[in-house]
Amino acid sequence: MTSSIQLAKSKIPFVPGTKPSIQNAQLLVSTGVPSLDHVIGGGLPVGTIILIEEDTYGSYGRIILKYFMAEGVVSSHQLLVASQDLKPTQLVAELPAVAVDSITCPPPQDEKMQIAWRYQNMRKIDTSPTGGQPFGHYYDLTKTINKNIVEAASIKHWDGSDVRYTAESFGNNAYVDLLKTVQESIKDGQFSISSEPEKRNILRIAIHSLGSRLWLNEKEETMTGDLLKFFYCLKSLLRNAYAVAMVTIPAHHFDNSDAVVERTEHLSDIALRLESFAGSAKEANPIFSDYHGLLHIRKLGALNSLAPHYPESVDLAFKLRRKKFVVEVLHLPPELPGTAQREQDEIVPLARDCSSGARKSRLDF
Amino acid sequence: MTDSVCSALGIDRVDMCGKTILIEEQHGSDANFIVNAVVSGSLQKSQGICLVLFHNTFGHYHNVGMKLGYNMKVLKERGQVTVVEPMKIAASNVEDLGHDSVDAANVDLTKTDRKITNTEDIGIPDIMKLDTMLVRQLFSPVRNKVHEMLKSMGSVNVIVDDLSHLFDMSLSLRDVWFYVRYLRSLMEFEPMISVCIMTHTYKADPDTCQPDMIAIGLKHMSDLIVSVEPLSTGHANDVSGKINIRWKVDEVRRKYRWAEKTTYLYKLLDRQVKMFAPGSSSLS
Repeated sequence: MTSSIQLAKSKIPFVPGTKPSIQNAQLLVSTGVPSLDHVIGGGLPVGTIILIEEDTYGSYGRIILKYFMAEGVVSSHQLLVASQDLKPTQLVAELPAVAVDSITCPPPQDEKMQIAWRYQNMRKIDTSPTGGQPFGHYYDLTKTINKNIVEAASIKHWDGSDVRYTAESFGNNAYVDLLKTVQESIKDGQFSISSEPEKRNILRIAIHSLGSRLWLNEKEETMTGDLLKFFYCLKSLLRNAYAVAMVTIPAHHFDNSDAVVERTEHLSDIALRLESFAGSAKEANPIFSDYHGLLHIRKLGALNSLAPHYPESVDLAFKLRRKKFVVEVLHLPPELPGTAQREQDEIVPLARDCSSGARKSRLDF
Repeated sequence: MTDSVCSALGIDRVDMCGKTILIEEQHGSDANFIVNAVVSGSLQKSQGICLVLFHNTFGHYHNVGMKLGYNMKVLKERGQVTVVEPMKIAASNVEDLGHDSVDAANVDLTKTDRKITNTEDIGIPDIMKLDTMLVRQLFSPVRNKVHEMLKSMGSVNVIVDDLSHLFDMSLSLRDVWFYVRYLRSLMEFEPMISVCIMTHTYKADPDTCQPDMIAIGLKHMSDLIVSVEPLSTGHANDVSGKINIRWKVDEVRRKYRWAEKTTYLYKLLDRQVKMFAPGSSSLS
């Protein structure tokens, strides 16, 4: 993809659901979560892999993947859905519908805040051109997407049941078959940068729970090797194509003695780790009462530039609302008179006892 | 723009021919700027450059180069820069996957024929196969291109962007070490070659993590070790990370009165890299 920058500059291929980055003229697509786009520098650069390290139960990882797919369907991108844990058809059938009231992500610039005017410049508004098209949508998780829209979209499924290709150097041929499927999709849909289709489009590849227990090999030794090799081949395929891949991996399932999680991070361009509070001690912690989990940025790669994008803050948390999945900077909840969960609140009445305060004690002469 | 990096490393003053630079990129940091500094340093000395790209594409180096003030595409056409991109080989291997199996199914004889020719001229690497020749196949284009360049250029700098990706092609430690040895012997035969190897390390257990293991061996044989670390305290707005520079050649250190190990902090900016000694604001 990097070599297509010149191409992009000369021709500016207009693709729905994309925008050029202001920093390096890289074409970006939305993850489907506008607040996440903002954190990772505007969106996903075309030709890259985003790695999502799933939370303990994998539920939020799946939601992010669904947003990514739904955004592809709404922007009429081609989609390749691969999973061995779930039926890809089921994943597609459960895609959320676009929330009606909010179509575009950034609020219009001229909208002035009524209260707290000092903060009106707080959030940086991305001014990069989107060609009059909306970039990123909010989705309503309570509604599933219209079946007609799904049927009209070009979606390819891969569930690993029918492995057609084999290669000597892979222990598990499911990886080989998926790679070949990706390559064929790129070729058939003319997503390669060398091909010149009449209308440019983007291929979105969603791979769910790669390397999970259902991807087991016969021999345990070849497992990490296969996973890493798959990533390397996927990366090399995507670099020359108008395609984006989102891969979720159950990182907590891996035996990480040989740093396989870090190595997959190194092979991907953006790596995020989700840490859900469900089932952990943090669930009951009042500091995190507003959120559902933490988002750790493990890697933001520098593509076509020296310095990678860095968000204003790396203490990020996410919360899931019915109509929104929001990633925001972690803030402590405000301390109001009603909130008495903190330790120092309990100490206060004790301190009052010792002084000659309101309540007289017998010991207080 | 990368002058501060070059002068901190000392590669602008020292004749690097016959010497090896190791760039160790610890997980969590991005040492690509050092590679770019080595590239621009070689260009200033009007050396030839042979880029062996396992990690980034040539397009990336071109785009960064445009920001730093040189045009890699023009230099490539002029012959000052050549590129070996094993990443493209990986992509084409996947593409050839179906065709190969068809060939083998149809006629068995052709396959044996091809094997004979493979032993004669090593052939094109195919990472989809378990081939003991793979390392040689990956290395031979590098050697050929270097020999070709030496006809027109006085000296050539071979830059390997991320050796640790060889492990991702499921090569064994032995094979990767062979790759390093090939580079070394190439340097022995051709005195006007310098080698720069970048590798990624993970701070995992070196007994099980092969990329960490090879870094130990590489540190042993290289003359200049640059290790780029992330900040152990986490993210900072003014500092991107820490660099340790170690010159192992005593003569060089004595001549320029350099310490054995120097530490700097760096900040990556869009078009330049700022280097500070720890405690000061800019490098004098």
